[in-house]
Amino acid sequence: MVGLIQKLLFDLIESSAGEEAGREVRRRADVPQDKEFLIYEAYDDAEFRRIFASMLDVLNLGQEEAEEAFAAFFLKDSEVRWPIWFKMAKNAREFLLRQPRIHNGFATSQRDPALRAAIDDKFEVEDCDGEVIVHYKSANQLCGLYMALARRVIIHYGDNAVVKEACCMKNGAPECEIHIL
Amino acid sequence: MALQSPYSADNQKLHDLVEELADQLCPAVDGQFDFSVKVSSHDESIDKLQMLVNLVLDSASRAVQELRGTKDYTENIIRSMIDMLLVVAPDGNIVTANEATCKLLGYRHQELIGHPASMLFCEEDISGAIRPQEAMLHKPGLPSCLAGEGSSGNVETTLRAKSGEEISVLLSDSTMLDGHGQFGGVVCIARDTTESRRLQAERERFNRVIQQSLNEIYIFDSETLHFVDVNYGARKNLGYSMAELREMTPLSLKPEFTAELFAELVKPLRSRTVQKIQFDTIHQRKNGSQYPVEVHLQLTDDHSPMFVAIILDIAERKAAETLLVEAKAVAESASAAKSDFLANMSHEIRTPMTAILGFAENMLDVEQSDSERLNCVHTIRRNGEYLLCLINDILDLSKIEAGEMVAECRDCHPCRVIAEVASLMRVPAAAKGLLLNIEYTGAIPETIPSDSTRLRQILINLIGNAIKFTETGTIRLVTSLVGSDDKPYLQFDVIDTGRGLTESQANKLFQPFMQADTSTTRKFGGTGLGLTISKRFAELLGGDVVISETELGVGSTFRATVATCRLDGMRMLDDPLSATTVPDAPVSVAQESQSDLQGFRILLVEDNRTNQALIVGMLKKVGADVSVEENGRLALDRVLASMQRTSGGHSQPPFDLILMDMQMPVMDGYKATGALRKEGYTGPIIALTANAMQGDGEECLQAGCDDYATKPIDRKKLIELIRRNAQLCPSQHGTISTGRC
Ligand code: HEM
Repeated sequence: MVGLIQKLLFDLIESSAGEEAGREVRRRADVPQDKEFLIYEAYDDAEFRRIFASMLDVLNLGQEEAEEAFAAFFLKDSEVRWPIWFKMAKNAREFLLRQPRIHNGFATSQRDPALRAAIDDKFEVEDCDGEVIVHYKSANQLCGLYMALARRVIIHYGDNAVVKEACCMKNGAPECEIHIL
Repeated sequence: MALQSPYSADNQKLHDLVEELADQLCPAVDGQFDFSVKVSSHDESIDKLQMLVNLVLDSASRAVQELRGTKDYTENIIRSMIDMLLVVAPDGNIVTANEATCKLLGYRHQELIGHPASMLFCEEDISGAIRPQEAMLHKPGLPSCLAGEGSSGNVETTLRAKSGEEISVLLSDSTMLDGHGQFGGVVCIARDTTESRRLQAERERFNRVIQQSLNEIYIFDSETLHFVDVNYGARKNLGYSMAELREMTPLSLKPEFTAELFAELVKPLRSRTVQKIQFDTIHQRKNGSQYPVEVHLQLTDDHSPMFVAIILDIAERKAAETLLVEAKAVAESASAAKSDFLANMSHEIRTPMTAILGFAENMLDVEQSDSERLNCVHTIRRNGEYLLCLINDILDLSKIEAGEMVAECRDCHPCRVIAEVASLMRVPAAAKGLLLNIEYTGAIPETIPSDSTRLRQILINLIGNAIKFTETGTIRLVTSLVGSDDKPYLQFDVIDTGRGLTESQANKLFQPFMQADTSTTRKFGGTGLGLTISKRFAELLGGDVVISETELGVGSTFRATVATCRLDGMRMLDDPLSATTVPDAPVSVAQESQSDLQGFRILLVEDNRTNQALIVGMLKKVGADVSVEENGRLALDRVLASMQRTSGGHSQPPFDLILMDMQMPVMDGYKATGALRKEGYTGPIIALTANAMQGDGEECLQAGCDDYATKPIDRKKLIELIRRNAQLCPSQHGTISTGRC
């Protein structure tokens, strides 16, 4: 998992629950207190999963609540950090169609093909007569996060679209399939 | 030495990082994009830039890879093409040539690329194949065939190989537009057709042979059975067009075949238990005519199986077979008939022979009385006469069967023949108390070209039979002219009031030795050959003898017909009965024998003393005046001498008739007769010959005789013969009339 996610997670924890909460999460997640997550570096996926799980415990949040909160926090950050990408898309649909390429961009500096593949190919989109169909496949099982982020993007563009999950890996499907229409 | 930097320390650090990034980017100059840049900045902006640079590099690298893949792919396709691919630039030079082109035309790749395409085209050859708009759209530098626009479709043309050899190709070309929609050249694909032309020619030749084959070849659908193809030979024979046949199945050609029968027949083919079946059947042409065929049927075993039938017309073979069977049957029945005939004949001959020998044996018995001896003599004589008749009949019949009996075709006076027959047959009729009536229906030709002797024999036989089998009543001979103008016949109906015949008796009647029932021979006498002979004679005369009517106990009508020729200009006798003088009135046998030749002067020329005595005795008995000479020489001298005595005077010729033995010492009968005729003797001469064969009689007639009698001499017949010849030519030799004993 690219460090951008972990960095923003701690930012969220610390800004909403204080620095101690951050330290507590690190402790529980077995992350060194002084470890800094660089936003373009790739880190261990398992470590990310520990951080996320610890965050739920420490902040006493449900999975969905956490995803919702992180999505809001993440998108606000992205709008500042990557304003051009938001400008390049005229609407949520265009942004969502480009999203896998943005994500794959974070893998391009990875020399290790295994690490690169871990970032690459998590997302695949299809444009079906205006309906965006997303195929998401990841051991991190963050389809809820995806849907929360997508809804944020829709709000960002002031569009009117519904996000629905057609099938989910958590229910045994080989991949999650999310429809945005 | 480090460069003097205008930047602050922080700025300097940033500057160095950007420098480093830029340096790392340099390999892209070579079109190499499969790398990424990496600097350790801890500056998010530099990192962001670095990430995007890597993103661009990655995209570029992917694009290059994709391009390379596409190029390889395209080149692979072009390389593996069997057809020639040439791309010609607007300037007329070849820009692309695949391996097939190099291989076929014998050039190396470098020898083609950049060289004018025109060197490959035989322009004169292509002139006929170029597109019409070629002249208008001609692009300088391009072969004319490639100068048009759009696609020319397929054009048969010739390419010139490096060796100079001309290669037939099927060329298709299409105009290529560049990225700006401008004319960018021509893409040509050419296929070597040398082989396909050879195959085509081979196919055509094969097809021609098949089409013209006199054996019929049908190809028909294995499911619907509809004809798919039928060769020309078959179509011609059947009389159907291909269009008609496509609507038909082979069953339509087989009057005796049903779909079920056919399905059953082809079962082993469908189940693949046999590869071919063969059967004989009948086919019917459009015009309804039929012909026997031998069919060889196969079911092809490709993805769409078809029946292939080869049909042989076996009409000739069948005809030959039938002929053979018929010939065999004929031969068998002939040989059966012959052995029947022989068996019958030997029986017939043995019977009288046994009687003769038996009675001769009796006569040797010294104890016998004179009257008993006389009785023996009579029996021996009767049987001897019968035997003679039988032998004569057998000889006649065997001559007919051997085809040796020929009918003469001379002027025959039917009414005269009838009159003679009547006069002859009235005697036995009267003896039985029967009447013999001669009747005519309509006019009768005075003469017809036919054979009087045979006609006479026929009538005598039919009337003789009628007399034989009739106990009381009348026998009628009714003569009429029947048939068409083209094919007129004389018809003689002999109608009796006799016992009649059953159908099976009637059927057997014309077979040799078959009388109505075997017991009749004994009761009625006769050889049983008469009807068969009469029928054969009638056939020889272009007619027939049939039983036209018969009813048991009522009577029979036997009908003889004889062909006349066309009667145009022929004299017709409207009242034939009165037109012919018939020696009339039934006479008693005793009367006849006494007065028959009363006062006739006969010269008998015969060397054999016994015969002399026999004949002289016979003739004297009937009142004839007989002189005898021993050989031809003496007879000639005698006749000539007496002729000289009477020459100039009007006295009668020296003899009314000469009986001339033909085999004699000194001068035989042939020479003597010839000499007499040469000297102007015109009186009747009757030959006496021992040979019974037809040719002998002919020879006698040719020698100048009027008639002939065969030895041994039958008294009655001889007298009749003499009477006829002398009577018909009372004082001079005239119409030739033939007859025999
Ligand atoms: C400018 C906008 C965005 C940026 C820069 C961005 C960047 C990233 C990065 C760097 C990761 C970590 C990737 C990894 O290591 O696998 C990530 C993960 C993720 N992003 Fe985004 N993201 C953006 C927008 C979005 C949006 C709009 C969505 C959804 C609609 C989204 C959905 C996710 C999800 C679900 C993951 C987790 C993937 C996983 O590990 O399973 N992101 N994002």
